[in-house]
Order: sequence, then C-alpha cells, then structure tokens
Amino acid sequence: MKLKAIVASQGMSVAPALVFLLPRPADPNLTVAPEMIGAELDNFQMVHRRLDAIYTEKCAYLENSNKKSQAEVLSVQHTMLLDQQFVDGVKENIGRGYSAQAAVQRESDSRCTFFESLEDPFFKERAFDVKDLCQRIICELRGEPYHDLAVLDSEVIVVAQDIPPSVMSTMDAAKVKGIATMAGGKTSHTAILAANMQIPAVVGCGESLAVITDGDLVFINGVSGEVETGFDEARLKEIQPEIMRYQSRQAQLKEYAHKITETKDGGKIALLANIMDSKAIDKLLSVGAEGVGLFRTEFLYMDRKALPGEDEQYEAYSSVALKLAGLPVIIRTMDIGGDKKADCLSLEAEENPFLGYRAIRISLERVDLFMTQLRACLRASADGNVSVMLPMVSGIDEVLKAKDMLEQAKESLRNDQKKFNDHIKLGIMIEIPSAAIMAEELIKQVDFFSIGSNDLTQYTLAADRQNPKVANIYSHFAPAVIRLIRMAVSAANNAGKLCGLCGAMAGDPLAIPLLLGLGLKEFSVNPAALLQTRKIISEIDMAAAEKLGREALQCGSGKEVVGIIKKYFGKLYDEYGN
Amino acid sequence: MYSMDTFVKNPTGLHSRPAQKLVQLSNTFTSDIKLITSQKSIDPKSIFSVLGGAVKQGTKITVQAEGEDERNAVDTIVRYIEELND
Repeated sequence: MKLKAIVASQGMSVAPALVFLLPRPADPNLTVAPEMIGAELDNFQMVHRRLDAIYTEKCAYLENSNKKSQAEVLSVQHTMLLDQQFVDGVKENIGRGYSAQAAVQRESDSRCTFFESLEDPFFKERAFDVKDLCQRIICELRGEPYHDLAVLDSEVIVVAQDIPPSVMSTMDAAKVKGIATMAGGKTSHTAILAANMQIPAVVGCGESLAVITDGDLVFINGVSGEVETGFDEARLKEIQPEIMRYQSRQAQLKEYAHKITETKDGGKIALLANIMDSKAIDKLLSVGAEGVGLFRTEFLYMDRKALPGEDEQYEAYSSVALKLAGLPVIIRTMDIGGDKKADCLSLEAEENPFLGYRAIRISLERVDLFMTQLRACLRASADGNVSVMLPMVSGIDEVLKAKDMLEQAKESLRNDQKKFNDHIKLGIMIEIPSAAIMAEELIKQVDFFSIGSNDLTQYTLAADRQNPKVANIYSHFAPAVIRLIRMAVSAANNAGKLCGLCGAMAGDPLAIPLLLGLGLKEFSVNPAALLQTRKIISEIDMAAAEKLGREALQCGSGKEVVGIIKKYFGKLYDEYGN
Repeated sequence: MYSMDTFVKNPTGLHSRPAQKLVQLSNTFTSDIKLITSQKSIDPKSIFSVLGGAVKQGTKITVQAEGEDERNAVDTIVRYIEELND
C-alpha cells in the first residue's frame, strides 16, 4: 500500500509500525444508586488529586529537560484539570446520579462540542486537550493504565487515528522515528508538535492506514507526503539509500546556517526571507537570514470585518523591526485583490480580478486606508531598519502619487510629534511587464526594485498561475520573462541601486545560477528554502553564471534556457532537475 | 469597580500558553474579574472561558474588576496582555 497525504513534519524514515489505540470512552448514561453518590464524589476527588500530582511532576520534568512546547501542552491540560468550572461541572453530574466516569465523559462531550463549534482552527483544536484530559481521568477511575508512548523498547513508526496531545508530549522521541495518522491537518496539534520534536510525520491519511498492524514495516516520506507499507526486500534496498541521501543532504545544509552568503568566487549576495508576521523571525535568525525582503501585510486585512487601525499595524510592523534589531525589513503595502479577498474592504466581485482593482490601485483610491498604512510603516521606521515597497506598479504616475502621499504622511506625523525615519527608503515591485520595460525611468523615482517573479511570469505570458490547464505555458524560464528581469536588474545596477527578487524563482535551484548571471544581488526566499539557496549560491562560479546569463538572453524558448543551465551547471541539474 | 481598555497585540492571540498564564495570574486576585470584548464576556479565572473566547490579535479588551484588589488586578492583567510577545 502506498498513499499520499499531508506533510506535517519533514524527514524520512523506515521502521516497524506500532499501532496506537485510544482507550474506549465511558458510557455517558451510566447511573449509580443514590446512596453511592457520596462514594463516587470521593472517588473523583481522589483521582483528581492524584492526577494533579502526576501533571505537576510531568510538567516540571519537561520544563527541566528544556522541552518547552511539550511542557506547554501538558500544563494547559493541568490548568483545565484544576479549573473550577470544570470540577463543578463533573460534581454536578455526579450529584444528578451519574457514575464518576459518566460524569467526566458528559463534561468532556459538552466542552468538546463547544470547542469544535469555534471557527478558528487553533481554538477548535483545544477539543483534543479536553478529550485527552478526560480520557486520562476515566482511565484512572477505572484503575486502568493510560497507555502512552513514554517508554519504548525499540524504534517504531507510530500509526494512529490521531495521537492525543499529552501522549505526543511525553512520547519517547528518540525511539519514535515517524508518525502517520488518519486524522489531522497542517495546523493540528500532532503536526505542530511533531515538527517541534523533529519527527517525520504525515497526517490526514484517512482510513487506508487501518490495514497496518503492529510490526509491519512502514516507510514515511515526510518530503513527498507518502506513506508506504507491504513492500518487499528489493524495495527496501531502494528506500534505505534514499533515506541516507536525504539525511546527508540535511546535515550538509545545517552547516550553512551561519555562513555568509557568497558565490564560489567570493561575490557577496544578500539572502533575505519572505514573511507574513513576526512569528517566523526567530527561526529566520537561527538560519542566518540577513533580513526580510518581503513582509506581506495583506494578512492584516483578511478574515475580518473592520479595517486594521494605525496602532494595530504599527504594533505588527514594529514587532518585526525590533526583533530584527537593525537588519532590514521591507514592508510591502497591502496587496489585496486578485486571488486575495478581504471582507473589510467590501470590494465588488470582478470578471478579471488579476487585471482589475488590486493592491496599489486600491491604496491610491482609498486615501484613508493608505494613509493609515503609511503612517504605521513610518512609525515603525523609528524602531528598526524599515523600507516601504509598493506592489503592482504599472507606471510612473502611481509612483509619483504614492511618493506624494508618503510625504503627506510624514508631515502629519511631524504635526503629531511622532518619531519616524525621514530618509525611509521607498521601492517598488517589478511584477507587471510595463514596469520592467520602463525600469530605467522608474528607478529614477525610487530607491530599490524587487522583482515579483510569480506575477511577472503570469502577466508576461498571460497564463494564470493557478490554472493547471495552462501550467505548461507558465514558466519563469521563458525567455520573455528572463529579458524583463534583465531590464529591471540592469536599470537598478546602472543607477547604483539595489534590485532583489522575492518570488518563487529565487528559491528554485535551477534558477539561481541564471539569476546570478543576470546580475541579481539580492534573493528573498521562503524561510524553508533559505539554507538550500545559500548552499547553491556558494557552489556557483560567477564566470560560468555570466556566460549562462548572456546565452539565456539569446534563447528562443524556455526549454533552451533549461538546456543551457544543464550545460554549465550539470551537477546542479542532476541533483534538482527532475 | 475599576476598568481599563487594552489591545491584544501578539500574533497568535490568547492561545494556550498566554491563556494558561493569564488564568494563573487572575487566580491570584480575590476580585471578580471580567474581560469584555465586542463578542463576549470572559472569566479570566477559567481556562475554558479564556480559550472559549478565541481572542485573536487586534481584539480590543476591556478589563474590569470588582473587589478589594480591583485596581491591582486590572493593572496587572492589562500589563500582562500588553507585554505578550510570541
């Protein structure tokens, strides 16, 4: 059996399965004779005290062994156990004649139903904590052990419907080589904890996992999202070297965490990351990102009824600027429209949203909204190295208007006696072909460019990047796209200004030598691609890259471009080309 | 009775860890305390009430207390919420 599901935590491993089963729930309708109510209450209280002690001890142990996220899961459950509302609820049920087990089960069911009714997936997830805690109480009441994975004799892959949070937090992580669950999604507790504990995990596999029994050899591919079992010796001989290759590649990448980003011949390149909030910053700094090349702000506007105010935006921007402590952050003003919708802007549906009312086009019309965002960005510039970038610029008029508004925003902040950096840098995205064609004129008006390769590709080739039927046309190796990139990079380089690239192309291994050859000096990639990008850059010889760049500009098709990449960078092509 | 307004600024809102610490902190006061949002009234002494409030970044909260240590309770809780930082 081989299936493909959701990668929750990266990694690869093969080991015998351990099927984890949840204890059976209690019958919520079981009642006791009236004279037994007192004894049931005592029983519950005794178990409650015992579990209080167990949770206290386990939390302290996890805290002391520096397993913070695991400790957090258990201490939330511990707080739930001690919650007066919860304890009163159980006691009330017992008072009405239910057995202690039934009373806990009823409390569990009603609280779970409530959490499950919440919209936000994070808060919805708390139902698992309630269920898990109550299951433990019920096992204690029964006098049964609560099976967890704290002590394991040999290496296993845990296969389960789902794994309760308390079991995840206390499992013997050194022995658990992988996790496959039927339930769960990318943000489920199992996914988050597995990633934290660096255990390869594939979730949301569905009922097909039910065929797996204890001891079956299982291969988890937490890169492709595949789970495989029932294979023969020959297949195992293929799997093992695949895992080895993957692991040695990961180990190599780690070495790049604190290296500077430079080409083989020592040319310095700036390597930044794309983010949407301050959560990713610690991770970024730990892999040596040199700043944030794209801070997407549209998420502040999505999924809400009211517009985000100036203070709220200032907090969001400032927290990033402060955490980066002087490293640059480029805040891109709101890019709503196209495929991103925002209720708080009450925009009308359009026939052609990608060619319609979007991003800077909205901002320049809705002066109130844009002023609020510019003022928030400016205020954050007093707290760190902040630049502002305009999305979807099609021509010079938009730039001039936005610059005018930026000056107005500064003036209003001066009147309000708020601090900001008067020399804040303003840049634009190059993602509409007209902007690339007019790059020489545009660069005179701004401090920097950043190429948005995804939109630039789809607009140049008129191929919707989300439509699989035209996926064969959509390619950032198309010579038309490459020529436009070259125009933007040259215009900036000739003017002594910086041109970066923040689309998916910057993290595409095959595109890296090409971009270097076209003269690009700044790459901004998704955090997960950062180390790989640094490693690839370090292996590129600039003389070969420049030859590649020149020849690619003469190509007639995207296929030819890839052919030339293969010619000059065969090793790279062999590793990433398929 | 004493009250003060504040905003939840941290990106993840009152999720597990902040919620649980808020409950521990609130239980150190004898006053009756309420956190009032435009949607709900939350009892900060109960983890179920706090998590059930599903408070996200950007939510405006009025912290209200009534009792002997009301002023200290409100000040301490407001400060706690303002200093949250994921």
